[in-house]
Amino acid sequence: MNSIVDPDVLAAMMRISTPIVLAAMGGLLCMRAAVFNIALEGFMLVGAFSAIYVAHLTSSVPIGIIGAMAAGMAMSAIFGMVVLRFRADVIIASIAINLLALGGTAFLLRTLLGSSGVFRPTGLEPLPSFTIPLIDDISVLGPLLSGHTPLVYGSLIVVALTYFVLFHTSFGLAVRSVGEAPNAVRTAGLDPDRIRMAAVIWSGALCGLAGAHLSTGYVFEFSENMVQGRGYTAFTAIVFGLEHPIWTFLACLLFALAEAFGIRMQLADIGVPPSILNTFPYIFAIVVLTLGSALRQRRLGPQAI
Amino acid sequence: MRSPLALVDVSVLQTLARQIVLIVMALVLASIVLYLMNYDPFAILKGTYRSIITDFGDTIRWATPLILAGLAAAAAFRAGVWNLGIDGQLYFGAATAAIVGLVASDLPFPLSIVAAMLAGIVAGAIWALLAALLRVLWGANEVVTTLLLNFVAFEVTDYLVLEPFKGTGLMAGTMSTNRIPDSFWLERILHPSQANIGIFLAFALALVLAFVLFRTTTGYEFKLIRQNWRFARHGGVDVKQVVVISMLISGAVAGLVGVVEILGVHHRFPARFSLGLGFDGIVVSLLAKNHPIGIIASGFFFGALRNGAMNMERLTDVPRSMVEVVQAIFVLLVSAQFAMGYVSNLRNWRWRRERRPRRAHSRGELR
Repeated sequence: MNSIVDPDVLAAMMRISTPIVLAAMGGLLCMRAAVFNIALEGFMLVGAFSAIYVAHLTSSVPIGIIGAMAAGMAMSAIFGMVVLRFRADVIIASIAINLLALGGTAFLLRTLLGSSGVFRPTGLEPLPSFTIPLIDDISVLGPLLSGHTPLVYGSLIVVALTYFVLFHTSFGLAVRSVGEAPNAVRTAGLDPDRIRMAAVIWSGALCGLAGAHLSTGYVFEFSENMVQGRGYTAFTAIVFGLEHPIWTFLACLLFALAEAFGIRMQLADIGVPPSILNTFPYIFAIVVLTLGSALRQRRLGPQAI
Repeated sequence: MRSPLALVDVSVLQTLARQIVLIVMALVLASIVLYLMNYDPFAILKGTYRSIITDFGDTIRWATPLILAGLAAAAAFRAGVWNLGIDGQLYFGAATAAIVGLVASDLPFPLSIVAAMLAGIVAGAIWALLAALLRVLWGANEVVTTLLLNFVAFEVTDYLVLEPFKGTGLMAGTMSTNRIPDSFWLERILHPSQANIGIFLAFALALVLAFVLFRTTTGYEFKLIRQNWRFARHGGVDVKQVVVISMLISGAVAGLVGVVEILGVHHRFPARFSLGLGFDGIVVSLLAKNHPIGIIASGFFFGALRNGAMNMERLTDVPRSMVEVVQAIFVLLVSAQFAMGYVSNLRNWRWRRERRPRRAHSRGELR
């Protein structure tokens, strides 16, 4: 069993958590602004595709990542338009965005890159990974904090940034107010929809980054529907993390740890079939969500039905 | 409000006109995309035309699961419950039907199909019940749980196909179970297409669901809850019970989609055989405004579109995923209620449209 509890699991956790953390931080701002954004999934898929497509065209991964952010923002702008300007139901609009991302990336995969199912470009230079001199030697902190790509560190910075913006800037105050008392915001002379739009587009940019991590972070590969519910997992983390950046971040780490353990157990071959192990992160997320909801219900009384 | 002819409700005609305008807009937008990408802009129309004129059987083959999945979506949406887990429920229904076919292979003909259907329906309903219970007991949002349960269902059915019910012989390399005996097959119609008598089941079910929704107390309670669950509760409706009932109906119908796909078309359970059929059902139901009878028509439309996509790929090398794009654009337009102002004000359409009053923002506050 020694191979299961391993510092590598911690390193894997950090890698796996990155896209979930990025998406969750974007979604968190939307939730705070009372936009129930489950289109994170679609934004991520578009980001993953754009990252690899732009990187393939320009032979540069960093430009690909910028392209992913731009594409994520464009997609989220459509979502924001439909939801905020045209008063669409948020959930139906999210379904539409996710369908559009799924069909659109499959379509573009065929037409632009000429492959169906999977695309693996060659000759790209992977992102560098940074080893932090002193911390690298410490037993637990080393794999946790050292030897990762810029996107992993980026996700940590985004958590701090989200915390700072949400609680220590006037924009953050506006976002929180929009969620809690939109009329007060209106009275104060601000346009709630403009604030919500900013939150939605910010989430698009972060989801683009998250998608870029999936398709170009370590290996260069895009496959249809490669996000595999990570957007939904991120959303679950927000709900469980009580819409607070730090708690949400920890929830993401927990989900990532569950997935890292699953992968580790597959490698260790302990007799549980891989498909069953794959269900582990999803079931874990459902259990955690239920626990969180039950606790919240206990504290605040029934929120709905 | 009745029309002068007093035959059809004006609002029905208006809805119909509005939805048709939206569909046309979606098709035009998609055709523009095709044109910009140097494809034949009429590819979708050509494919769909062909699927109606020369290839009607396979249109029915696709209309069958789409109508059923649309009914599954409508059963939940009519009560304001978000069942986004139709795909997962469908997979469990399909896998269970196939397993019944493999395990109880010597059941005589009519009994065999009944057994497989019942098993599949129960499996789908149980999978939906899970999310419903998490919702009513502990308040876990069903939007998220049903979505996550989909992935669990995919993986578990993968496991069934890879380990205990792995196909042998020709099926060994295909991630599929063995064929089920032909006493379990639904009779094919319109040879040589894959259309089967499941289509009549879909029609019958649409009528039953229409009856339940519009002529029973339960159906009325669905409506009350969708419009205002607090009011419904004050009026004495057991809101939790009705939410569970709507999810059970939705899951049962979703399970049936899987059963019909297996018994009617595949005759075995291939892993991940129909990714996205559940979401297609949601689209079908949206086009019909969640009306069971309308779902028959919209199921046929999307069946023709989907079958047309296959033809399109053969005829014009436009990838068939284009149809998913059309569907997505359509849902965006529907949700944005884009053409609403223009169509319902046909008489005074030149007038500058008033801005609709801004209502407090939806879901986030509601939940």
